[in-house]
Amino acid sequence: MTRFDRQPSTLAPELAQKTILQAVSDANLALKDIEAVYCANVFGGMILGQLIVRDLCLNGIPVYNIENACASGATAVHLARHALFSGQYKTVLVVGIEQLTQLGGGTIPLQLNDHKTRLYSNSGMVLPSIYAARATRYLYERGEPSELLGEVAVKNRFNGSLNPYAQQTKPVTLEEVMSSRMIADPLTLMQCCPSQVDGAASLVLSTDHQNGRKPVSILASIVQSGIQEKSNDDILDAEITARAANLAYQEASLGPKDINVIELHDAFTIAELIYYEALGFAAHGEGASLLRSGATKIGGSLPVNPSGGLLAKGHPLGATGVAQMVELTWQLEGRAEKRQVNNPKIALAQCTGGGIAGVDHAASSVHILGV
Amino acid sequence: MEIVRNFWSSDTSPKLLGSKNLSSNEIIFPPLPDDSPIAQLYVLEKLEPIGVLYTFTIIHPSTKSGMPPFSLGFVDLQSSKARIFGRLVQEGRPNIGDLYRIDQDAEFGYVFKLMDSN
Repeated sequence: MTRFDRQPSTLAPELAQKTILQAVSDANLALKDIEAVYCANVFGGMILGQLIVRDLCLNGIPVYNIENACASGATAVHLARHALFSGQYKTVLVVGIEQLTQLGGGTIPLQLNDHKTRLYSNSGMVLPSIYAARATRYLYERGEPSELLGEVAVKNRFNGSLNPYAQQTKPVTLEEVMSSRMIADPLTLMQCCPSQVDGAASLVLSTDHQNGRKPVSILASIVQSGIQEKSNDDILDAEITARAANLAYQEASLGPKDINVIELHDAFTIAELIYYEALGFAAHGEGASLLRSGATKIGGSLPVNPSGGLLAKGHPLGATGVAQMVELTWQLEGRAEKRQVNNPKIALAQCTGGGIAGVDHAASSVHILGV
Repeated sequence: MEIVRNFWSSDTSPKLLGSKNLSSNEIIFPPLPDDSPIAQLYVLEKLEPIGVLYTFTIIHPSTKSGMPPFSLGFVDLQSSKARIFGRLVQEGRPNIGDLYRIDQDAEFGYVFKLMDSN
């Protein structure tokens, strides 16, 4: 993967090809061994995958362009795995890429081709506002101080300081987090993932393992879409994430207790707290205790976002889901360097895609990897 | 930006309109367009204008924009199975559990105004 950073002068082919060549080499393969390409991207325009691979001379193999908002990368892995299962291919490449600096700044645009989203957007709805409203309700119901949210940013920004691929590599104090500019109360700037970031990540998936290392297998791969919200929904439920996670655990015949390391979708601090419970790592109401116990730090019993997560890395949408799995592959292979957790065997990656009103999220994906 | 405009009833005291699902009685807002392919699954419903604030946030636009902070929230309507998002209008900080009333608004179509506790 590339370092996630501002690279406004780098065009998509140069950004993505670097990671493709790295991934193919790391798999001990050649480009000619790739039978299909799955390209995950949200805002890069039509046929971006073909543009990226045009000069790699791949002899016209199929290129699939996948978009599922922030869950695009994970969805691409999901579809690639399907193709391998069916026997259609033996070896495929998944590449995720996003160049948010080309959007000119501000919050990620919503999908406005809809009466409800358009009307709510006109009133001022932006993605941070939805997460902030969740945070407000969380602090109210649980009787927690807003500093609890800041502790998530402190943890993940520290982890980011150990990650050469993260955009934000400076640890921060709780005071710095809480005093950073207010964006959507109670979420301050350092509690929001950076939005001015570009990045790419690639994976090779194969049923013909040749890299000389112990294979990392995908034990479960789930994609789910949002259900129309009801008037009495609990916005702290993270319903779509819980649903996707339960299906993943069933597919892998595993449970939350079997997971050793997690990369989850901490686009905002409140998200990590809510997902502790939705993914089954903490009972309902116990997410704050889990954070405070230190268990989710790199040296803890259940490290969460050892990469620094989206809060430290940044969130180039199409790349995020692929980057999560690159990180977890390195963790499972013992190659995560300074941020390596202790001998993990089973890993979980979770991401959610938002951008329309009327659903918890539009898309969610959970993968379980194992060695 | 073009927005849906026909979500107020034509009564002397207009009420916000939603579409009620005939099976679940859940309300969706804004109401479905007249030409919606799924219109037959819903019926137009006038919504009672009072609701309870479920949650909120205060948006702080960048200083470059020159815009002041503004409140947004989700309000649970009394007497209707509907939770609606919109601008909140009140002095000071909103409070979860406060009562708000839906009012017409020229810019946003509708806003929620804090009801006088007296």
